[in-house]
Amino acid sequence: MEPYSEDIFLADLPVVLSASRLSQPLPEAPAAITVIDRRTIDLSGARNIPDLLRLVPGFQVGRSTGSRVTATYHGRSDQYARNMQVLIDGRSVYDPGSGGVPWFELPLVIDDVQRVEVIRGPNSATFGANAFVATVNIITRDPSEQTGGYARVSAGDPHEIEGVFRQAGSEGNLDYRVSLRYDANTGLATRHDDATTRSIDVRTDYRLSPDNAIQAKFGYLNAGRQDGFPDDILQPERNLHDRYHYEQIRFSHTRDADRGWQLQFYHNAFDIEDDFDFIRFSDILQIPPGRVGDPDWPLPWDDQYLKLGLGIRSHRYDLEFQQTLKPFDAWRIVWGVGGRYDTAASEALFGLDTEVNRHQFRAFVNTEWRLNDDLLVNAGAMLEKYEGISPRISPRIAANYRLSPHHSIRISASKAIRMPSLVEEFSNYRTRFQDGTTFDVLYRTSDIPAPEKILSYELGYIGEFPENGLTLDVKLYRDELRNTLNTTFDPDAVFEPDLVATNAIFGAATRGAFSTGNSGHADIRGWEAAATWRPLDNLQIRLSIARAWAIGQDRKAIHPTVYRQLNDQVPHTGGSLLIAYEFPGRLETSLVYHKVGSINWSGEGNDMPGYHRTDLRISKAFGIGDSDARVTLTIQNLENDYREFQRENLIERMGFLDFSLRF
Amino acid sequence: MREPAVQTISPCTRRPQRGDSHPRRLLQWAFWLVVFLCPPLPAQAMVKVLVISNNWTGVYQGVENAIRKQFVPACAALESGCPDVEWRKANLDNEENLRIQIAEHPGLIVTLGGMAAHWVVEHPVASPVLFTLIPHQTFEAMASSLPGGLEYSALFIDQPFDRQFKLIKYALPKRKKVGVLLGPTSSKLKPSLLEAASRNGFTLNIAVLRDKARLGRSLQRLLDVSNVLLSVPDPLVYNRRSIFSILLTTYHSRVPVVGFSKAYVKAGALIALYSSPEQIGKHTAELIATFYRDAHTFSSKNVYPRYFSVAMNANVARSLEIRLPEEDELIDLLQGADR
Repeated sequence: MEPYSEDIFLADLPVVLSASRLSQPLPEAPAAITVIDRRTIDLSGARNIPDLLRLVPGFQVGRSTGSRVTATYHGRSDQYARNMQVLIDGRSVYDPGSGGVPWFELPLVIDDVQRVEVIRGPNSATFGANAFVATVNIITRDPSEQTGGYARVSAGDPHEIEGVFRQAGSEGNLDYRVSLRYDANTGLATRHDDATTRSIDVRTDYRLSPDNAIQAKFGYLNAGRQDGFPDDILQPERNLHDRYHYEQIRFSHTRDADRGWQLQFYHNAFDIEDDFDFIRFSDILQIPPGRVGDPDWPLPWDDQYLKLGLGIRSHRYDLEFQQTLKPFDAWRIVWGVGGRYDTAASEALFGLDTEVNRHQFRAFVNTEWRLNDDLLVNAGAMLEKYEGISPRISPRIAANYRLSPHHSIRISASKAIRMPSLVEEFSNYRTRFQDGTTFDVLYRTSDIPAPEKILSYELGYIGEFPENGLTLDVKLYRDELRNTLNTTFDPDAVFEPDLVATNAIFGAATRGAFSTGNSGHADIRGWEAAATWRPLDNLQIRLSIARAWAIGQDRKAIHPTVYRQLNDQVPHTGGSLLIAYEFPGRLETSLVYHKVGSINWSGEGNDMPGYHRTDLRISKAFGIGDSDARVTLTIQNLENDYREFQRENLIERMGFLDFSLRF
Repeated sequence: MREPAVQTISPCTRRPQRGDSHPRRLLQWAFWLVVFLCPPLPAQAMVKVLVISNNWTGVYQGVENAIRKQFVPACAALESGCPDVEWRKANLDNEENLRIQIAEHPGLIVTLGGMAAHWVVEHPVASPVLFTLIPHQTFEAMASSLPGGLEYSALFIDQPFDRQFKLIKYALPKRKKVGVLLGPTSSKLKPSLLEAASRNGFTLNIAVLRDKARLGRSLQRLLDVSNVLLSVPDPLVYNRRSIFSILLTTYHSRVPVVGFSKAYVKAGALIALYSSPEQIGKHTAELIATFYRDAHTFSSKNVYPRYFSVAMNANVARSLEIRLPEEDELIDLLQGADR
């Protein structure tokens, strides 16, 4: 029947914008949230997610090599920032082995990211232990919005070649996306860090019925990379091989926009192959090979090769059920239960044929009361039972009050914990001879460390000035960290009798070991402000400022006790400014400036002076026949070279030329 | 006693006044003579109204129930007499029964839905026809095939563009750049859309979709220059699969969608005008009452729904930080503007 029937007006439709798809308006959020949407991702010229996090007030990003980067909130971090939870489409990508997030080993392609929501503040009440100081929630685009093919080729200087190809489509009730990526780069000029990466990432959404859907995702990444330092015995310049894969499936039932439930399972597997044996005993002693056993060097061992390397394999299995209810119009509840199993194996870090593991059970509830039009109260808690320790509860309470249609304030208090990583808890890092006997123990945790704790108080303000297209977000906070986890050196640590002999010969060089304990505390207070301003339709400005003052200490060593001041681990200042202007003819230009105050990175990091960096992006979109094409020039670090995270890491000016096509 | 209202009432209803004398007796004789000679008033006769549909569940049954319930009150509101109506139903599935009903020459045929309307076009009838529950484009396409002498009218299921633009004006006062994604069918509406937009002070951005694979891209280009999306029905553009892409893409660009049904608002459109079965039935009943008052003719041809509701999605409004007026306020404003 031409042209169409009344069915189009009468047919029932499924709920598309359900509560899980709708982001909370900022004035109602129980915490300070920074949202970076697709448009801002494009304008920022960020090549990867950590680059993007530089725009979030209070964040610091440190590249430890060309292919390893750490991102942290309020400092206090080494190369594995263990204090944040990071999720991609609801799946935690935190590595239970070493801790932190292997950002460059995730199969995620930045072109597929819809938005990044950063919750600045503890959020264990929702996301469990590890959402200690912040949570980064990465949401990928819905395949139904990406229908068709997409390809991008990028060339960078210093040398980088990147290629991305994506195909998305729908077959009946199935929407799918397959993304492939290849990247080869030479990393930082001053480091041995070339890397070649290949990855595939798949997302499928299947609609069983208007109310029921299944989302299944899986991805695989394979990377060969260089690492190490010249003249470093334990980490010499060498080649590593990394593999990462994940599988995720989620079944969801959506009764209406506010009610439904979901069941999710995922598995992450991360394998760093880093075992080498080209370091000989004589290399350690720095004597010519063959001299071992000489009258000058009467050692009980031959000049054999040592088994070294930091290879580690970790797995995370997680199952969770979650339900959303709205018993009354003014009362919304989200509750759930889940379980997790983390396991890791590493010959160097844990021992030969040793697998360490830890399981967890959890239950959580979060309620939202709309007391009246102006007052919203949010209360929630997470109960976690980790193997070996008593159950922990992480609560949070927040109240949002609307002062006027465009101004609201928020007050909140929350408690969170951070569990030690498997390395922190079970570390037994030793160097061995080829026959397996131990040469030296470097890092061994003897007493089970307890989780570290944070108690955070926050006062926030959100102001909207719609006539000027201006939004203001201000947060004042005070964090109390107790029982902080850190490594402490004990020169008198003795483990096995044979090592006594080693120590007798090598003295201070091999004597003692590090261990993880809860020997620190810190108080951090500060404020953060962010403003987004759109004075004209084609002009956008985003500003962020952060100030922090930290006082704290932990034990750097015992026998004798030496305290380490933590004040410098949290930078006093930080900020960023993004200015984007769109010219007619789809020509976009943007300038990003960001500044970080001096920060003392721990672990492999150093006490680094502050720096600032300016990036420029110029992009032109145009049509080629039926397709949409885009050419982009990005120059990062227009100003002088600077050093980041470690004294060895020189960040020079980098340029990238991208050509992308949507067909 | 009620005053006789209008001149359509037969002079035969005039009653003798009190206080007459000899002339009175004469007049009384004259009165009874006239009564015998006058024909019965049309308002006292029994008429058949045949309602045809291909589906007698849900909305369709709801409309039919409402028509029957609202007919007498509709006549009362018109202050005309109501004929006694024998309501008949027929289903397209049972064609034999349908033909029998038609052969009895009902006083009026009412079709519910496009399929029933199409059947009537294919099988010419002698009775007047009121086509309802049909989109205006679909009706206009078939109207040319209707026989010349037929007395007919239509009540469309869709809302007029003018009313939709006024809805945007009152509900989203700061958004003046309206984006519309048309398809092969709805592209013919471009002139009337442009006219309604300009009359109400809006800038209209139009994209025409010819290939459903290009939906995402065409929509994105539209969203780059619009701050509200007005949905105009077209099967290629709006269907169960495409609404995912449409609602997600518009949401991610923070552009609210004006839908065309209550279900669309449930799915994620911010706001929509729609007429419920009760409202459609009531208007239909009024059209039937008017038809009888106007001596079996349709004085207003081809009308849009008189009664409508406003559906709003509170969650989407909250997420986009849009404060919408109350439904009653909007309906008042829109009905006021309609006059």
